[in-house]
Amino acid sequence: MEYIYDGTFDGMLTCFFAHVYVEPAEAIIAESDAGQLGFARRQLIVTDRSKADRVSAAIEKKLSRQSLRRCYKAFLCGESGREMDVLRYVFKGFKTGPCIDMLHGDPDVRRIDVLERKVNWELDRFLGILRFSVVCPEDGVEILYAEYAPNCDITQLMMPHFLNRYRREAFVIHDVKREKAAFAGRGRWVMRPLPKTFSPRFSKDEEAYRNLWRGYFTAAAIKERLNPDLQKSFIPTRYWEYLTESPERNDPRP
Amino acid sequence: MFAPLYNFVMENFDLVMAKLRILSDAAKYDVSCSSSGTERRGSDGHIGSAASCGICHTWTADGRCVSLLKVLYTNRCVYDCAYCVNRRSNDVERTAFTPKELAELTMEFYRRNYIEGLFLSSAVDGHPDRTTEEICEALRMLREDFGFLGYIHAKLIPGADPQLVRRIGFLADRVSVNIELPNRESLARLAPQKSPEGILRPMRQITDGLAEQRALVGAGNRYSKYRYAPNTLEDRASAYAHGDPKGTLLAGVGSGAIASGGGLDTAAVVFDGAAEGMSLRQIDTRMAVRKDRFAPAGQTTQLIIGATGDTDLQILALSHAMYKKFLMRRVYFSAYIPLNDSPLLPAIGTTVPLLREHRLYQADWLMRFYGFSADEIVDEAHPDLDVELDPKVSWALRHPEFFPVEINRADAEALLRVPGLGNLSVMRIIRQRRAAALSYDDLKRIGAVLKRAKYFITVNGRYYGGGVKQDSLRDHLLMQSGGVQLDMFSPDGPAAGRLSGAADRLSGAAAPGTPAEARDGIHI
Repeated sequence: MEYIYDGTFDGMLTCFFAHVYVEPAEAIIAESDAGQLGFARRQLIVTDRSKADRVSAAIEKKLSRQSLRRCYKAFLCGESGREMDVLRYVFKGFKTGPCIDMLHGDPDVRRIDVLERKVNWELDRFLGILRFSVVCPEDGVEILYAEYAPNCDITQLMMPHFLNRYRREAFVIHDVKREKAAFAGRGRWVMRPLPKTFSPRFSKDEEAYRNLWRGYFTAAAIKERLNPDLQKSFIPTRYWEYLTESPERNDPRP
Repeated sequence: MFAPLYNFVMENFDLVMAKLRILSDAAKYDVSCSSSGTERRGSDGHIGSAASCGICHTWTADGRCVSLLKVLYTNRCVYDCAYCVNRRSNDVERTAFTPKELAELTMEFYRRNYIEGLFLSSAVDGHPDRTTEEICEALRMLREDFGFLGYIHAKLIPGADPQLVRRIGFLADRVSVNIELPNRESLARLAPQKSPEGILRPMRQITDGLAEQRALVGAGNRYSKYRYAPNTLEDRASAYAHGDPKGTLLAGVGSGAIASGGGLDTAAVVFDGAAEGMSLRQIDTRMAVRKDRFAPAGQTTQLIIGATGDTDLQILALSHAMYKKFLMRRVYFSAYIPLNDSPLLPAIGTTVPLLREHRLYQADWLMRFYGFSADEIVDEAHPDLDVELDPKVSWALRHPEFFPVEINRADAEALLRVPGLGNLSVMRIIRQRRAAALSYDDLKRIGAVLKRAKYFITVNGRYYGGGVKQDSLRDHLLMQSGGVQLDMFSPDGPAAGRLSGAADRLSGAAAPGTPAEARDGIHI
């Protein structure tokens, strides 16, 4: 049976529930990725919070809390087919118990490890390369606004870091790819849809500070040691679009 | 609660832009850029926090990470050190920030998440105390007027007043004094106006300050059996015995590495095997969250590589002594780039010894995270590192009696000595062994680099290295390092001149950067 779900973590867990109590799953596909054609039998699973809670409680109890976190992170990686990877990991864990995360050599565990590291790597990178701009709405209160397009759905994972850091600022982190944004201020935040066409009004000094930063960025490279390949290995080109100091525009070579 | 920004930068935009260009250009040869070592949560009304693992914010075209806004306060200098781009006799544009400009620039960059904090170094404009006072004022303004809780790394100026050094220690997260040259003779020749004592005095003062509040016990990790704590206790005891618990005393300077007349008594330094209590890192983190702490991220220093004829043995022995005696968090190496025309130094255009710098960092990592001691990596018979192979492989080739290591039985320290296994794969091996024995295929999935490791291990008693003879092993590994291991450091990429003259080609290779530059806490 192929299960179709709404693309949420709870939805995926509801599918796991059906995998046990209805019929084993051959594939679990998000609605948005499910095409019209297909010969397999398909069933739409409506997200049921109580079923999802039962599954997550079982994961936490039989595997560990840490494992549940890993499932969530692996889910956020956004790769197609990840649902079945998590499913295999979870049901293997039901057999082995909490020692599942010690089985580094097991292909199913390894797969989750790879997905989790992918999310962690991108999260880590964006804590550094996310660029905020100062935005001035009508009433003159300054708001920090950042836009980016990550591969993994990491916006909610970034919030604790920036809430802690910007204790006296209001800020918005806009995931352009997923057309949603986290709005934060006074230690709290909410996630709301925000179209990719949204473009705010920047403060009058914004471009000047960007230029200062670009100037610094260019001056800081040592000409005798130029190594653009190494640079690219740290910041892949897919991240350059939203980077203020994008290397494309700041070539220090004569 | 805190002062609003002055808008000073915008009013003087062109001026500040010019200053930023000149003073960041002058500061970029300082290697250190890490923002690690302090964990500090944000606080209401303030801005900023610090992550103990450090955060890199961008990578410049030379592949080095940018974590902090690295600038000089001024590049006007009374000194005339032969190796320095800012020396008095060089004809370069001179300028200086004001505390206001610098503080505001830092704040605005920080808000936009460009940087993790400020790295403030300086040339010496007039008397050391004068420059230090201005630096102090800029840092005070950031912390007190603007409520800045981000990371600050301040470079101390040799010869500054101990009271000022102490003030900076309380404002900054990390402080450092660059040693630059590994012995007294080189220093006298290349930087005649500086004295070893002037460099070591503030360094020792910081060490004592750190020891005093027991925030640090030195480098090491949980696998390391070498703990530096006993020496710290001695130092602290001596500071107290001299009736100077504040650490303004010059305890130990006389016996310091440089001050011993270049004789490097450090090579004979004996590791203290005594180990007890928590792992070193745990103590660091716990103590670092205290209020009003003195340089919570400790101190670092930097050595220039290749400007003088010093051997790797001398350099590593000195850096080892720095870790041990001065409780350094990091000793950085900087490959000398000839910028000045001087008869005392390599000529302009000489190849920058980037590969040697890379090997030294690898050796440094072995000392800090793999339980190696300096005299295992280099000794009198082999005073220089093998540039063709990494020091771990070199050690393994010199010690065939140690191998093969059985993956399912050996302890962590033995596993860490196997080329191709790092801290992370060793941790995974140990963990999996508790649940199930490992197979050779498991090792692949665990992340071990088997093309190197296979010659040095057995898995369940079986050797997978094939028919490679002991005496041809070096050539085998060399082929790999020439063809694969160092590709990312080579400007021409994997295709260029494979296997032939690997060393020649690579000595001109572009920079490796330091591995995991900003996160000197954990290397995996």
